Order: sequence, then C-alpha cells, then structure tokens
Amino acid sequence: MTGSSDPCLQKQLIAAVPNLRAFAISLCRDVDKADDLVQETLIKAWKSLSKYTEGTNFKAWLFTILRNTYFSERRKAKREVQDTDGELAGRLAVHGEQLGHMDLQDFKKALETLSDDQKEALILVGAEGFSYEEVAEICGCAVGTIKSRVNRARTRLAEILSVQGASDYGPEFATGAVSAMPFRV
Amino acid sequence: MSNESEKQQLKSPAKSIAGETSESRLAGSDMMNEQQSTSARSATTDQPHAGEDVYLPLELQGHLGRHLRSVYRELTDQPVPDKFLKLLEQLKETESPPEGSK
Repeated sequence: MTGSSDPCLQKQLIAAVPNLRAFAISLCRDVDKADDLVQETLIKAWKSLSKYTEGTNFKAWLFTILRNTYFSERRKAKREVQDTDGELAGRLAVHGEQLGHMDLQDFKKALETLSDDQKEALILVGAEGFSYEEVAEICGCAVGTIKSRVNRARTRLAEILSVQGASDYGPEFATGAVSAMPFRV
Repeated sequence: MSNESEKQQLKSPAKSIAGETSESRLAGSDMMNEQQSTSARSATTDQPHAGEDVYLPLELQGHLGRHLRSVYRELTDQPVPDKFLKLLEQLKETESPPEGSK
C-alpha cells in the first residue's frame, strides 16, 4: 500500500496536528521549537506512511515519531537537563512556596516541576487519553514503568498543590495524609 | 506500604542503574534498563518522599485530571499555524514518497 495516497490517513494526519503541537509545546516548553518539531514530525510521518501498520493507533504512531524526533534532536544538541533528585527537589521547594490556591496557573507551575518522564507520561495518559499500553509503546518502555511514572506524577502534583491548597480537598487530603491512603487504580 | 518497598529494595537485582548517569538514561538506554528492572525502580530512582506504592484517592486523581485537561486544552485549542496546512499540501503535491523510503 502506498500510504501517502491514502486520503483517510492524510485526514488523520491533519486532524492530529493540534494534538501533536500541544504535546510538542509541553515537551519543548517553547512554541517556536515545538513548531519546528511538529514540522519535522509531519515530514517524517508522511515519508513513512507506508510503514504504518493498519489497525494500530495512528495517533500513537505519530506521537512516537514526534517523541523520537524530539529526543534525537535533544541528544544532538546535548541539551539534556540533568534530572537529578537534588535539582528537582530544589525546584520543588521554590515552587511549593509560590503555590497558593489551586487554580490553573498553579497547576501549570506544578506541572513544570515534574520530571520530563513523569510529565510526559501524565500528559499522554491523562490529557491525550492514551492507554498505558499505548504510552508504553510511544515511550519505548514497559507498561509498569508508565504506570509508576503517572502515579508518581500525580502524587507529586498532589503534594505540591496541597502545600497551601489542601483546603480545596478538605483536611484529609493535606500533605502527608494523602500518602497514607492506599487507593489503587 | 513501606514494608513492601523495603522488600523490593532488598531483593532488587538492578542496583546498578542507580549508579548510571542521568545522561545515559536520557540518551534512550533507559528504556531497556527500565524494562529489565521495573520492579526495582522504586528502590533506585525514586525520591524517598514519592514512593511508588503511594496511590492517590480517586477523587483527587479526578481533580488533578480535570485540571490537567484544562491546561492541555489551552494548547490543543490554539489555531494550527497555516504553515502546517501548507506543508501538508506541498507534501501531497509531491506525493508518493518512494516505497520504503526513510
């Protein structure tokens, strides 16, 4: 099959652009870089449409290309942000103090304190609505890894946002009490 | 719960990844490492206060999820720059990447 002449896939490709772009912006934290990334992704996807396996999730396939492109560019640019625990903890402390009431601005700030791995997993599962299995495919790692990243991301957000916003959930959700609750998903 | 993670730590066969640099993990090798040692990860890469066995109440998860989607929607709702549509048009015109091209 010549993938590129499949009008259905073409439509899906166009339809996916807003999502690809949103994900790219959250990866790059910069709209211009994100647009470059999307552009490159679209070209790559187009050129390899014939390699797309019909019946699999097309959007997940596109996200995989975007993500791989992002990380290979980043490696080239040697711009890896060292995500050491200490550094993250430092950023956390600052943001924790700044956060007050839980509104969207606070939430955005809190989201940016997550490690890239965690933020990415959380967005793909929680915002894009991919299954854990699909996200594992996209990120090239085990399903369990994704589950734990998502879970740690949520826990972290709750910790940060409950620093001063605990009253939003009621006292039982204040820091500390949260981690004592053994709910599983 | 803490018992559970202690146990994991004790039987952790992959202590070695704790010694790896972040750089090598970011460089893509983390996929393999993590696959091999999912069960050991909490013992090696987690921060002490963010234990892997901590699960949030569903209500709170839902709360976070709604915020996440609102924030993300601001991004997906942005108009798609014309250049992408033009690009796709151009690609369509050139049509036909050779079969199996990279």
